[in-house]
Order: sequence, then structure tokens, then C-alpha cells
Amino acid sequence: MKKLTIELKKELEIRDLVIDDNELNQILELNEYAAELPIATGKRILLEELRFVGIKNNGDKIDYVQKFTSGINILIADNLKGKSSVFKVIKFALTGRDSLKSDVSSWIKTIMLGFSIADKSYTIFIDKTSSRMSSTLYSTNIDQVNIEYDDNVIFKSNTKSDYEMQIQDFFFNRFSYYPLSWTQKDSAKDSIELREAKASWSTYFKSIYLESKDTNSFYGNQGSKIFQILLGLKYTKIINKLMIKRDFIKNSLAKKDGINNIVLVGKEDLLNELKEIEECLDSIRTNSEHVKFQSLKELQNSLFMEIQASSMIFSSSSNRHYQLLAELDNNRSIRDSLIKEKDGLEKEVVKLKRKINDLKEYLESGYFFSNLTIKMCPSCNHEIDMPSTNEEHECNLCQKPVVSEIENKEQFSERLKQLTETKIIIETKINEIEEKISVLQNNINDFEKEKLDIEKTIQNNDYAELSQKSEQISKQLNELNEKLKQSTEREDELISQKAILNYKLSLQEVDSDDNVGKLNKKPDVLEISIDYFINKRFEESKSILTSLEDLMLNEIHAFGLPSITKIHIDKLFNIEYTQNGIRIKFGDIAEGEQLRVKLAFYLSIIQLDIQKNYGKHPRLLMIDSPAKEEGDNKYLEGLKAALVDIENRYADKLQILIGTAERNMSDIVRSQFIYEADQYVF
Amino acid sequence: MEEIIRLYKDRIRIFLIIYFFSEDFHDSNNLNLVRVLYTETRIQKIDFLLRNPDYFALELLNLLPEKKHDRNQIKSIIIDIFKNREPEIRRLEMEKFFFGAYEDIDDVIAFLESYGFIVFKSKRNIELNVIDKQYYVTKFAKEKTDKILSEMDSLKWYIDRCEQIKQYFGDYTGTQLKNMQYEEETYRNTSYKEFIADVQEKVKTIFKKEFGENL
Repeated sequence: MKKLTIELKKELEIRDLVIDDNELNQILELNEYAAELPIATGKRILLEELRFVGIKNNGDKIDYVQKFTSGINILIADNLKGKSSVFKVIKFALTGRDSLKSDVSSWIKTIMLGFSIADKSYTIFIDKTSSRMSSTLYSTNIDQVNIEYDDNVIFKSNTKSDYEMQIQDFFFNRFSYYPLSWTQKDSAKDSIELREAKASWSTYFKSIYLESKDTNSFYGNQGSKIFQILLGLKYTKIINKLMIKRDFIKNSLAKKDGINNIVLVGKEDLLNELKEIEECLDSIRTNSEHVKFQSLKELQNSLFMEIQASSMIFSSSSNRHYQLLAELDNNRSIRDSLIKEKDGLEKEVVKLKRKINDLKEYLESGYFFSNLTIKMCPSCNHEIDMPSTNEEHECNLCQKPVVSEIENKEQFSERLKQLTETKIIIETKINEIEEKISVLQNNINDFEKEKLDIEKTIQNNDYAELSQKSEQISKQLNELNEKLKQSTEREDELISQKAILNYKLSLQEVDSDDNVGKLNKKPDVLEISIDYFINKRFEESKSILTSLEDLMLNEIHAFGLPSITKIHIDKLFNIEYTQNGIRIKFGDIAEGEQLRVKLAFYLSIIQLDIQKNYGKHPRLLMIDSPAKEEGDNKYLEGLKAALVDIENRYADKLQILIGTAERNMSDIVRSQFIYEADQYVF
Repeated sequence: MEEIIRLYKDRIRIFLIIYFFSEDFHDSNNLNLVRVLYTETRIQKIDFLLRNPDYFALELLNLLPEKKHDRNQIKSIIIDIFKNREPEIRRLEMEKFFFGAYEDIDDVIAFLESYGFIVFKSKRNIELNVIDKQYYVTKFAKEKTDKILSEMDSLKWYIDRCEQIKQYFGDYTGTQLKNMQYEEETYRNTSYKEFIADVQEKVKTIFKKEFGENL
């Protein structure tokens, strides 16, 4: 942090804002800043089983039981048969927000959802039989939960809003999420006060549940904030805090006479209160476990830098390795087919050589046996002394007509000439092929050598070791975090009280010109600091964002959108696309293509977590009607191929629930639940 | 075309076997006969080696344990045979009869005899079977061979191979050659009137074992 402060002060000085450490700290409250890291928690939500019972208004009983597996689960049923409702029931259980159609909602009486996080089983039980909803979270497997008397209750709540809050706490804790805030005008019409709003768990849930109704909005109103937390990039927390502070100060400066509205409390009292709070904070912060926690955090921070460096090497090596494998494969298969061709031609040459030998032998032995006269009768073994016939085309012995040797010779010589020519042509061809083979072989040797070198680099890479270390530290941190939970909460509370007090004090001081100046200085300092941290974040996260851009582009191409050639993520997490050479925003993408881009985004976020160990997505996606998009066949085929690919690569690492009416999507993954035409899901 | 080529091929090959594997002969009553070769079996078994270069290579490898011959020379002969792909280019399949590789050569002998290249003599035993076949080379044939053969490129291969076979197996009688060939499993296990299969792979395996190199 010290290094940051020095850098930041320089930035301020450039803009004529000279400020001392104390003052800067007072404005920015940097000592309250806890470093956050984009390292994946390695945790995931795995839905295991959903059960709900109830009764429809036509009297039909509902008794729905559905098991889910890791990897891709596809639910195929016609439209309007209850697919979306199943997803909404899951959403209801996981967030407490009921978005079911009101009639369907009234049918359902109890819901049980079994799931696990990091191999620990949990079960949510929601009872809607009475007018007051009661809900319980058990740390027990769904098959073992005993509703009547189960000791493993994590929490129990008797109102919907309480459940919403508690389940939010539960997931925030499990995934180290925090509620990023923003400011908005108080909803009361005549109020000019600013209100602090916070991203809730159900907002996060938008990154899990991709509802069919909002295919063409990217990520909701608070979208880029969720993106920021899912990525968990460094400095996100402080940037957010400073932004809010800036908004509040600007607001209070804007309404100078607003001071009158504030009940002035004696300055003395405020200072006393502040002193008390600081003492409390001190005692919390000097606690040995707190200190240990902070030093572990620092250790984790420095480990992270090392991991990032080695991850860069690791991933570029892996990429090259992959490329080399492909090159090798390609070269080898061309070489092998050339060898095959060569073998075929060589066989041809062998045949030709045989024929050529035969012809030459014939011609030569013909010469050897030429101009012979019969000396012995082959029948009776008597010597014969017989003049040769005058007829050239007549046999000396039996006087039958024969083909003249000269004719034979000419014909055979001609054939010999042809065959020899053919042989030369083929041999030339063989030579050419051999040259090609040798070039390929050289390539293969070079590639193999490079591959070995890279394998060594990968083997020697300490990425895994570092990750393991960091995982251990994370574990310790988590344990400590549990222990320190109360005191951390208290600390947070005190910090916000302190901020309020400081704010009140600053308002009291607005009176004097000097103080107005000071207050005026604050937004500038904040503005510059915010800029500074935003740039810093962008700079230090470049490799992560580039990885994400690459992953996204791959997915988009897999979905049959080759026209998009580049993804740009800017420092405020706006995503833009180069399509057909023009840079556009999500909203400018053709409607029929938006869903693919969106899917690509979420799949990439999850892959970033799995492959590169960055980010905090819970690796669960629920996608309603992904095939609904007016796509060409290519999209459907691309989607299917992408799903098969994901299933093959990551079945044990993520979970995707897909609901679709598209029957073409059947038989591509193992876990599928197909409802016949017109059949209701429940 | 093929038949007439085969006809001449057999004639010249058999003649060359008789010529190169015969020994000098002198009979003051018949000055026309200058060399003699005994038994048809010998002709048939030498013909088999000539027509199957892979078997010749195998027999050479079988000689190695005796250590009577120059290893390196044997090695280089076998390398040449395979380098020139002789087992494919020169192979002329032979069938197996009751006593090993055999092909009727009566017509060839009749041809050679009627044109005065050889004189064929034989005896019959009490069951009237022809035994004790003798093949004499005539003076005319020797003169013609001495005069013309050296100029014939394509026949040179036969001459060289005959020399090689002679060098290693020239002292073997027909029966000895037959017994030697029967040692080979593939040859032995070939059924009556079937073609004797090639042994290239076996030669390659033994060669690799003996010399540590691939053929």
C-alpha cells in the first residue's frame, strides 16, 4: 500500500494537489483497504436434486423429483410445458426471489433443493403451506435431511425477506462475494439525498440464470459491477468505495444550504465518538489473529504476483504446446500419406523392373539361342542333319508357321522402351515425394524438439506448486475468516460509523472558507485517485482480461459467428466487439446473434476460472431456451458442438442446466431428460 | 507375350545352371561332351535358390553359426539382395511336390538337347523309373557361351548369382540341398502342389538379430 500511496501522491502533485500522507489517508481511508485477489476460490455450486410437491388448480397432484449431475443437463420439452418454471423454482430456492407466475407459485407447497459447495452437502427446504413462508438451510445431504429434527441447521427463517437476507449472507460468504455499492437518488420525490444501493445475491444470480426473456440485454443494470466481482480484480473494492464517497461529497457540496437540514451535533461529541470508534478499531486490529490474518493476506498477495507470472509462462507454453501438437499431427499425417503414395509407386516400379528384366532377358537369350539348327531329334535321340527350310516363317522341324523372331524382337523392343520411359517418370515422381517427405520430416523433428523443450518448461513451471501453496493459505484465511467473522463485521460497522462521523465533522467545517476549500479539494483528490486505481487495476489485470477476450472470441467462433473478429474489454468493463471490421456495442449486435455472444461471455468466465484459475463464478449456469434465437442451422450445430466440447472437457468441473424445446438438442450429452410432445414437465 | 518370355526364361536359366554347376568332362570316345552335371534334383534345388533370392539369403544366414565363411561378405550379399528388392523383382514362384520344390523341365531339356546345347543320358531301374540322370554340355554350347554370354547385361545377374550359390553351396549334392531346404519351416509346411511362400520377414528378423541392423 505504501508504494501505491507514493505513486498516487505523485499523480496528485502533477495536478497541483499537494497533500500530506495524513490528509490523503483521511480522504481515502486507505488503511481500511484489504487487498482482494482475482484467484479462483475453486468452489462451485453443484445442484444435485430438486423436489417440489403441490397441487394444481385442476386438482392434479404435483410431485416433481429431478436429479442433476455434474456437466451438462438438458431438459427437453415443448414450450409452455413448465421448463422455465423448474428453473424459476431453483432460483426461488437459491435466492428467495419468487419470479414464478402467480398461479404456478400458488400451486407449489414445499420445495427441497439439494446442492453442494466444495463437496459439502446442503439442502434448502421451503415450506409454503401456511401463509407465512418458512425456510431452512441444512448442512445435510437431501436424502438424509429430517425435516422434523435435524440438528444440522445452518439457519432458519420465518419470513421471505429474512430468508433472502440470510441466504445472501450464506452465498456471499461461501464465494467471498461482497455487495458492491453505487449511489442513487432517494426514491422519495422531494428528497435530494443520495442513497447507497448495494448489489444483492439475486443480482449476482443473473450471472447464473440466463432467462430467455432477457436474451438481448447483456448483464442487467448493475451488470458491469457483477462482472467486476465475478472477476474479483484487484482494487475493485477501493474503487467502488471511493466512487461512493465522491458522489456523496459532490452531492453535499451541491446543496450547500443542505447543512441546515442536518441536526447539528456538538463538535466535541462527534470528536469523542470518533475517538471511541478509533480505539475500538485499534483493539480489533491489534488482536493477534487479526494481525495473522492481515499478514497471511499480504503473503497471499505476493504469492499471487508470482502465480500470475508463472501462469503467463504456463499458459503461453500450453498454447504453443497445443499448436505444436496440431502442427505435428498435420505434418505427420501428410508425411504418412506421402509415404503411402511412395510405397504404392515403388511397388509399381518393382513391377516395371520385373517386366523390363524379362524383356531384356528375352531379347538377350533370344540372341543366344538364335540361328540354331536342329541337331538332335528330341523324340528318338538320333542326330539329324537337315537343311533349314527356305520358308522363313516355317518351323524347321514340324513345318508349322511361326512368328518371325525379327517381328517379335521389334515388338518387344518397343514395349521395353515404353516401360523404361514409364519407369523413369515414376522414379522422378518418387524422388519428388522423397524430397517433400524429407522437408516434412525436418519440420517434424524441429517441432518435436520444440515440444520437448516446452514440455520441460511446463514441467519445471512452479505454477501448480504455487497454486497449491496459495490454496493452503486461502484455506487458512477462510478458517480465520470464520473465526473473525464477528469482529470483522464489527470492524465494518465501525468503519462506516467513522465515515459518517468524519462526514458530519466535515459538514460542520464547511462554514469557514478554508474548510470549503478543503472540501472542494476532496472531490478532486478522489477523482484523481479513482482514475489512478482504475488504471492500476486495468494495468495489473491485463493478462486476465486478454485471456478472457481470447476465450470469448473462441466461443463466439464456435457458435458460428466468424464475423466477430475481436473483443475489447475496457477499463470500466464495457465490452465491445469488432464485427465486419466495425467496432460495436452489445446492443448493436443483430438480435439473432446476441444470445450467442452472451452465452460465449458466461462460458468464458467459467473457463477462465477452470483453466486459468481466475475469477469467482460459481460454475453453475442455467440457460433457458438457448436455441430460441433466430439462428441459422450453423448456430444450432455450433451450439451443440460447443456443448459437447464443454461436456468432454469440463463435465466434472462445472454444471450447466439447459431447458429447450429444440428436439435437435437430444442425444448430445449423457444427462438428458426428454418429455414427449405435449407432455407437461410437472 | 508372357508365355513366350517365360519359355525363354526357363531355357536360359536351366541351361546356365547346367553350365555353371557342371564339372569338366573328358571322354576320348566322345570329344563333343565337355562338362557334366549329375541328378535332376540338384538342378531343381539350385533353381529354387535362383528363383527365390530370399531363400538364398536365409540359407546364407543359416551358414553363419558354422563360422566357416566370411560374415561380412554374407552380410553384404544379403544387403544387396534386399536393397535391389530382388525378392520381389526376381522371384519366380515354385510349387512343392513330393520331394520339395519342383517344376517339370523335360521340355526345356528337350529344347536344349535338340539344338545341340546339351546331351541328356539316363538309366532305368527295375521298376522302369528313370534314375541317374546326367546332363552333358556340348562343345558347341561351351564355345557359344564363352563367346557371347559376357556381352549380355541382363543375363549377368544369373551368372553372378550362380557364382554366389556355387561359392557357398557348390559342393552340396541334390539330396543335401533338398535336406537343407526342408529345414525351413515355411518350405516344409507347404502343402503338395502349393506355391512355396516367401520368407522375407524371417530373413529381416534374423538379420537384425545377427547384425543389429534393419534390412
